[in-house]
Amino acid sequence: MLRYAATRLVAGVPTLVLVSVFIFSLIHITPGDPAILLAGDNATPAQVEAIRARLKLDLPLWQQFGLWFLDALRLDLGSSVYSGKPVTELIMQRIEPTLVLGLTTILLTILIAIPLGAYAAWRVNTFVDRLAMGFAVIGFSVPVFVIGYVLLYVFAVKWRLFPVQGYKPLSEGMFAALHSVTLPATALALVFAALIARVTRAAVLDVLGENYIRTTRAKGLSAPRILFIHALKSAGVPVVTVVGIGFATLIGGVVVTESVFNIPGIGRLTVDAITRRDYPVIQGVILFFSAALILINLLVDLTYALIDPRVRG
Amino acid sequence: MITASPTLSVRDLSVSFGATGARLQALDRVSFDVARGEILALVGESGCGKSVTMMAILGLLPERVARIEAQRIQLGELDLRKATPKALRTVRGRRIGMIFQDPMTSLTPVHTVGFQIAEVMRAHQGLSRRAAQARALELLDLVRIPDPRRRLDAYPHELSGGMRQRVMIAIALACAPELLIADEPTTALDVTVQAQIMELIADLRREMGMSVVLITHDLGVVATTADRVAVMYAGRIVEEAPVADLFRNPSHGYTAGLIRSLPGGETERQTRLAEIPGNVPRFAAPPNACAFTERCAFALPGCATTRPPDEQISQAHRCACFNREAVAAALRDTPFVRAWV
Ligand SMILES: Nc1ncnc2c1ncn2[C@@H]1O[C@H](COP(=O)(O)OP(=O)(O)OP(=O)(O)O)[C@@H](O)[C@H]1O
Ligand SMILES: [Mg+2]
Repeated sequence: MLRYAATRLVAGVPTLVLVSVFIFSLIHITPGDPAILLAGDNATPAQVEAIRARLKLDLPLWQQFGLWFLDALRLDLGSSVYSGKPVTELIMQRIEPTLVLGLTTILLTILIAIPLGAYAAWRVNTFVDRLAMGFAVIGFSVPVFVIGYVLLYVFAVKWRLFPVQGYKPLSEGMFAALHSVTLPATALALVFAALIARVTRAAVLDVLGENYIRTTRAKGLSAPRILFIHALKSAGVPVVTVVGIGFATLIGGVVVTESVFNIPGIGRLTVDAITRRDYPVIQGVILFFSAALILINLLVDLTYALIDPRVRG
Repeated sequence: MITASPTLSVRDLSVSFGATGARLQALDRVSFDVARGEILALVGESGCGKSVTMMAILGLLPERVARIEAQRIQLGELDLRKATPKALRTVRGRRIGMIFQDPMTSLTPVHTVGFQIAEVMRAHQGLSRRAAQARALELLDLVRIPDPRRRLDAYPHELSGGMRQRVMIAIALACAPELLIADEPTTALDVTVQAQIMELIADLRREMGMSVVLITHDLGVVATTADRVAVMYAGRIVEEAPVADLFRNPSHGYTAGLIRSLPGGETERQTRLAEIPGNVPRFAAPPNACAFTERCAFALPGCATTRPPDEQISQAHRCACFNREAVAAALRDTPFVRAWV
């Protein structure tokens, strides 16, 4: 198991290198002089020259990449053109709200979607099943910002149960932080829960027709035990796959949601950096999200091995 | 003959599937008893309703499509027709153990065999995790799995078909049930393993004193293992007798066909099976006929228009056939029957 984990981790390295090549070339494949781009719109020629010298933009491309890559390895991603602060520092400042929002969303999604999908499969073609899948279609087809605004209107504006916007850091207490991300996390979770519930239902439905489920019934096991311990676990691989894919796309959702709810996370940082054409920051957040994706994939692979002994090999 | 009350008693069990307009009659008034400690074989071609019979008794048929009627389904003192779902659940796995045809797919792939054996005892007998594991180890030993301690932590895909079927038997026997239902336990296994598994079931029956319903389409297995045999055709039991009586005096046209299809049953054809021409009808054929008429070598004109009644040939031998004497006489010469006389 440990060796499996180690292999998967090592397999992530080339991906990350490839991504960094892409990120590096981002600024060089965009038309125009990188130094002018980096200097921003109102820069004087002297400032442009200073940047050219500081970033060694006259060196051959491969040397530039080498230097950039070595810096990146030391987590030095350059400085923001806009604020002059190191990119790493900017990301670290914004990481907490995004992590809290992301993890809450993941937890909510799994808690809603997987039991719902499994139960719908158990009661296939009944009213409960249709209702659940109806919800899933709605959740799936309505964009996250619409759901976000609806939740905002109902729970924040009308009933005043949750804040309209903003984020309370963990330093003000676990509850305050969770309270402040409840609405955005719910908005995001609904979208992904829809997808995951449908896939869970299909996968469990498949498994329920298997001979080994007949065995569990002949053993006299209780329905929840058959459904969750036997069917759901056996259906785990496709479910975990979609959970993984879901969270990969969650990143896009985070960017939108943080804007709707005005949460100062990495999503907001991204949007701000893009509008300001703050290339070093853009590079930084792409690298950050890529690393997050690779981590998610790793977790997915490990979960496969954890739930299905045939994967361990 | 039968002194104590039977372990299982079934009277006029009928099962049909599907919507009202197009109902498919899978079982038509099936009756039989399983005495304490005996092995009753249920024989018949694919699709004749053997599995449906057992699934109906256990309440395992899909409720929404299966309609079950019966005069009696009695397990000891318990009326299974009136049992609540919860009561039925405690019957399954605890009082009735069940083994299925396909050991390769009958175990949950994501749990160890130890877990799957222990689970039954934890569910029905409230054993602790540790006690259940210890019992599981004993059970693996009982079903003669070599190196049981190591197998306890094996996953099904790490075991051969024969080993998996032994695990299934261990699960079925975990709570020392009074009745074991083995639904074609050896069809998916190779010949030597088949013999071992049958021997194991026969031995365990003796050791544990339980009753067994053995579903099979192999008369050879019936001859070596069973005490009594019920022959099924298209949802009906057409003949039922102690094994020796049935083979000495086969009386139904269909039984005759089965015996003739045994290897070596016909002198001229040593290797090829003499197959009974035609196929089992998809459902119990017309209520007013013998379902086997069209394929029967002994059919009389009346067979197609009147359902032959069950008749007692001797105290323990009953048969629903209009041409019993002719069947018995014709088969008297086959080597298989002669071997039993
Ligand atoms: N759930 C179901 N819905 C509809 N028809 C069914 C269902 N289960 C069984 N049947 C039908 O009932 C009939 C009897 O099937 P059954 O499985 O009992 O045969 P069998 O004697 O066990 O055959 P085999 O030797 O192949 O196992 C078949 O015609 C089958 O198609
Ligand atoms: Mg069957």
